[in-house]
Amino acid sequence: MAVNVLMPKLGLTMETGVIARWNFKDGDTVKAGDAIYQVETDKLTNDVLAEADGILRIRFAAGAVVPATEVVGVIVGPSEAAPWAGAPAGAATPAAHSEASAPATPAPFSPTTVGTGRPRATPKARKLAMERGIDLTILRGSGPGGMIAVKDLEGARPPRVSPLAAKLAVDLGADLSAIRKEGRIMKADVLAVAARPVVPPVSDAGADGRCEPMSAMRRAIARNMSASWNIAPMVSYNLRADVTALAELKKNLNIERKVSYTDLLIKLVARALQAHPLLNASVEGEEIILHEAVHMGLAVALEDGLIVPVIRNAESKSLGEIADEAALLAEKARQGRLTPDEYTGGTFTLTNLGMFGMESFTPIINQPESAILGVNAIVRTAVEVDGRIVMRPLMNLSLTADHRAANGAEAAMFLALVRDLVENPWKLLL
Amino acid sequence: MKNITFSQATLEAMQEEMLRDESVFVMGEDIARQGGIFGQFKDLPQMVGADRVMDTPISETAIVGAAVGAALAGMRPVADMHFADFFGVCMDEVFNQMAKIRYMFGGQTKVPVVVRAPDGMAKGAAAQHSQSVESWFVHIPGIQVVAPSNPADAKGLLKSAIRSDNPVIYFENKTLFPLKGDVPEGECLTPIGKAAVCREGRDMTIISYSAQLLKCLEAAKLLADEGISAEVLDLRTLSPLDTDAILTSVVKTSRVMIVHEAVKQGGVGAEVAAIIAEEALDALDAPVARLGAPFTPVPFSPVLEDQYRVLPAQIVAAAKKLF
Repeated sequence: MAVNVLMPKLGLTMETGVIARWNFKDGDTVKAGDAIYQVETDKLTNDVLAEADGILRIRFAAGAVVPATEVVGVIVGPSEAAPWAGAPAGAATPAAHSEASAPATPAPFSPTTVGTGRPRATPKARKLAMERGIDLTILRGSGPGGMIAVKDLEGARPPRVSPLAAKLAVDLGADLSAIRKEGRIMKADVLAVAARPVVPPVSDAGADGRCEPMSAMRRAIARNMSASWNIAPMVSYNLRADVTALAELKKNLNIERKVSYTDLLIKLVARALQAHPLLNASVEGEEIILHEAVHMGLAVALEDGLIVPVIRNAESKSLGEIADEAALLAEKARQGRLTPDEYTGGTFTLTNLGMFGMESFTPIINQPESAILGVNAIVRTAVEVDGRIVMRPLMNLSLTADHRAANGAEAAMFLALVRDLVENPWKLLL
Repeated sequence: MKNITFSQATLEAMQEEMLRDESVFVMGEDIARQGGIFGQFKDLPQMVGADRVMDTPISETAIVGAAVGAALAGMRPVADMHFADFFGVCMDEVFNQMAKIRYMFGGQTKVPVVVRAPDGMAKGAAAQHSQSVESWFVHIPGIQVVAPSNPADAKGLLKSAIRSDNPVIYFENKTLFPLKGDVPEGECLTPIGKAAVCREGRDMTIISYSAQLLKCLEAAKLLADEGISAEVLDLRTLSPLDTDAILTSVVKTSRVMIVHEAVKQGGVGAEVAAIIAEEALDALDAPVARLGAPFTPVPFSPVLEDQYRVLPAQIVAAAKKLF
């Protein structure tokens, strides 16, 4: 009795997953409970366990982007065959895009992909297919030696693409032909392809170094940060806030319950964002999406990475609710138990390096958000107050904003408001 | 227009240029008294004066050496090789002297020599009198190489070669001499370095030159009967190659075949194919095809000689594989 191996749906928003690595080869014997492959989503890597004993037949090779709930392999008995023909399809070959519950259709076996898995096509056919966004892997070659020639492209329809997705594909340099989808290609599809890791370069670490492959999370961080760096004209703004009043407030609150500076900052930054919606926005193509709610991302450093869980509707939550949720999310983050729904959909991010004594830094925006606020250490500093030099606890606030959304004046006014709220936290009551 | 043979066309070119410019003279084996082995110099001494058409001893070294010397002294010599196969005898004069002098003297002098070299397979001339050796010279900087396929270009390229201030090797396929074709009345100059589209087509390009081009034109007709529209490009000059013409046609048709009588390995076709791969890979909708002689000397046996040739039927068969 064959048992399907599926691409799991890890969270509501997951549409596709990448097969990061097969722990077994096609034809290997597996036991129920064996971790047979690793699935990689935007940020996390999970193991998929075998649900039966038997022989593993692999349908899509490592690197394939597969829709959630799709069959990626099957565990069969000794005399059973896999319900599809041929060897595992290459990374670029998953052709199936059936509805979530529909039975899997076997990947069409194409003689044009024999060998490398890359379809054999004439250079001209390859170029035209790329220009028109046509997927060569679904075509049959009738040119010289069975190659896909230009005549084979006739009638092959390019995928339908939403204008936003098309723009995004150009912006991110994403190859539309790499997207296999029967319906219209939307923004999310392009982002999924753009986020796919490029083939890691073979590097020679030399005598005095060693070569370590990036973890899935490291790769996600690398591509997200690079994409952000490439797409956003970023400006950084710095302002020092006197935290005397905030420290006093925190001290008094802590008599009731534990509240951190971060919790207080989440609350007051959420308030400031409501007054400056361009900092709580997303640039999509030539449109700016202004978010009504403040979904506050909170950068959490992990031993081997970084993740940004999101406190949803921070603007309408009480300080106590924020403190509880922030603590819970941070704990889940450290344990690697966050679900994708808990670390996606942020509209603004707060990142705190104060515990390391940082006095200033220029954080990189967590796209598609339009700004990120870096929180620094509180440093007792000599300042002038009413003609006298006094020592005050100052905290530098480092804002990075996407100039496509927010001009300098807007960002500066926002940051000034944050400082005003830090220095006069009673205004939160208004 | 007049309809004359290839041989007559070269004779007209010689006569016209020698009457136009008295520094032009010709020397070679059996050209003055015999009129050339293919009749290409017949009656030339009577036309331009016996002192300007010189029979030489059987020494290609002396012929090319003397021609280079005369050129340095201000003359415009035409040297006849009798058979292109004999280039081996005078190779140092050709590639170390004729090709290098202008460069090594910093351009202070010119070497306006034309070396006429009848090449290719005649019937049963065997391995030492049948070769097509143009690719040796295409590899040498400092020499221009031309190879006409018809009487008009035979005349036009020979006249341009004589007027060129640089050494030119003029390959004239032995089998072309008796073939007739239209030649324009009056001045007829074919520019060096320019290919010609001699049949327009849509579906593929056949690139060739010299006598092999005629086989390609026959093949193109046969292909047309099968619904394949083949463009035929006559390179005419092999060095410098007309890269623009090659690429323009390849971009137009997306399929290309290069055909020559010379051995395929290391032939001109390899150079043309490489240029296409470098400059127009994206234009190709099929692999580049090359046809040439097998990698073996030209056989003496007439039966084997026919097997050695690239005939229209083979061109047609190879062309169909591109679709």
